[in-house]
Amino acid sequence: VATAKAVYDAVYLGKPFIERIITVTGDVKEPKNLMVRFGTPIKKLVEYCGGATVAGAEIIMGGPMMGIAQFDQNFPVTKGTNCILVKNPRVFAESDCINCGRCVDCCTMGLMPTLYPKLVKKSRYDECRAAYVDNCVECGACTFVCPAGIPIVQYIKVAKRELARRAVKK
Amino acid sequence: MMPANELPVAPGPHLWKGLSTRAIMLWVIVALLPAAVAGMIFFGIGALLTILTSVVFAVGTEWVCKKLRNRPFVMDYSAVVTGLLLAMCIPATMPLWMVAVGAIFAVGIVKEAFGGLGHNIFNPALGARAFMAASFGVEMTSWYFDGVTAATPLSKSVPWTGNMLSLLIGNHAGSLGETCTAALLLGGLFLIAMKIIDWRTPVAYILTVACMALVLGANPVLYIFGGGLMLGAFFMATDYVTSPVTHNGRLIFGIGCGIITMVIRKYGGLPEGICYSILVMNAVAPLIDRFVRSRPYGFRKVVKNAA
Repeated sequence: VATAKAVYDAVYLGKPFIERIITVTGDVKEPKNLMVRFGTPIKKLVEYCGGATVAGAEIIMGGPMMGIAQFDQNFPVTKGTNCILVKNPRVFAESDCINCGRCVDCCTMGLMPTLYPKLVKKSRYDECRAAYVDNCVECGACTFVCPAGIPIVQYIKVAKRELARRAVKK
Repeated sequence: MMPANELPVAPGPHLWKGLSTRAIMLWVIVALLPAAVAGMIFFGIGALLTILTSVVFAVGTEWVCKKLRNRPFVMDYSAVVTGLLLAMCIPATMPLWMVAVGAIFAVGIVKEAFGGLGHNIFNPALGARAFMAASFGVEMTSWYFDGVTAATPLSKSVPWTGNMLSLLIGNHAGSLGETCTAALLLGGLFLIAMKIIDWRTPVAYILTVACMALVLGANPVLYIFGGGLMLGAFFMATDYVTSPVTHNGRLIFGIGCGIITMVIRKYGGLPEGICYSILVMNAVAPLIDRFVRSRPYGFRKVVKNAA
């Protein structure tokens, strides 16, 4: 929808793509939908919404599942930003995989996420590729449901990066 | 150049469902309680003592093993589940020191020796049951009910003459927690409704036993409700660690358990085959996963190459 609006603006109003609507939500005093110019620091947005209501909150660019926590408050809004989420960081208390299969049940790509952390811990990246780790879209559903609190997506990212690095070397 | 105002950064996803391993184990215990209470009602104070001994020694062994291996001891209640399951699949009249030995074997050898929760190949409670059946053969097959020796409904030498209602309620001879089918069914359906366990394993298991009983000319009701099938199908075959993770794998797992159970019951020397059938299928569970996962992925590979 935002893209369609931007196309309309550009074609009919001759207005370049310089702003978009961004949702600022989470632990802020007044969550808002704002029309924001690109380049606005995310700090300004959070301040405009009354500031964070919890101490030590992270500022996430994107949604709660795939969003990336920012390390710099002055980071600007870009054309890909759709949401700013202020939230306490999730603490991963990782315990052993109990093979419950919840990640397999919920995987949107029909993969077996249960394999990847085990393989990555042993640096068996080729077996990750054989198990189609490259098909993962990093939606985070497996990590959301994991009862053992394993950051499965992070292991998958490690595997993908390592495989990409090797591919470049060749 | 370091930014002046650094923020805390955690990897995504930034939400968690909040159902932890510990919570799952607690729900399993809750689901087992009705059958355990029924066991206490039918078999008296001995049942309570058996359960307490088993649980205490299971948790104690886990603690000792973690200390020996220099690992942190986390109370995730999995040892409680193991102890409870072990107590429920043995006779309530077992001498308590044998129960303790069984619980120590279950956690110390079957579970911790393989690396603890998540790494064991066999279900700890069933492994210990097999160990106890081999070590204390007489005590493990001495069934009492109302103070007198009695035969279990599946006994080969004494045909079952009681009515079907008592099979459901559980006022007949058998292991501590396996007799009250109604309570086990309640607990099992509760776990399925909570989505703690997958319905595929117990349904495949029980249906296979029923079909085999019909084909072999036996009474399916007696075979479903008379032995430890309810306990095994709902609480032991569904053990996460030792069963497949894929849906089809779980179906195959349940069917395999059912076939082996019925072969043992009809043609083997034992009246009951739940324990060994699940143990055998535990051993092949990783193979089942490997086998079933090759098919859906072959399809994806073609798509990937075309793109």
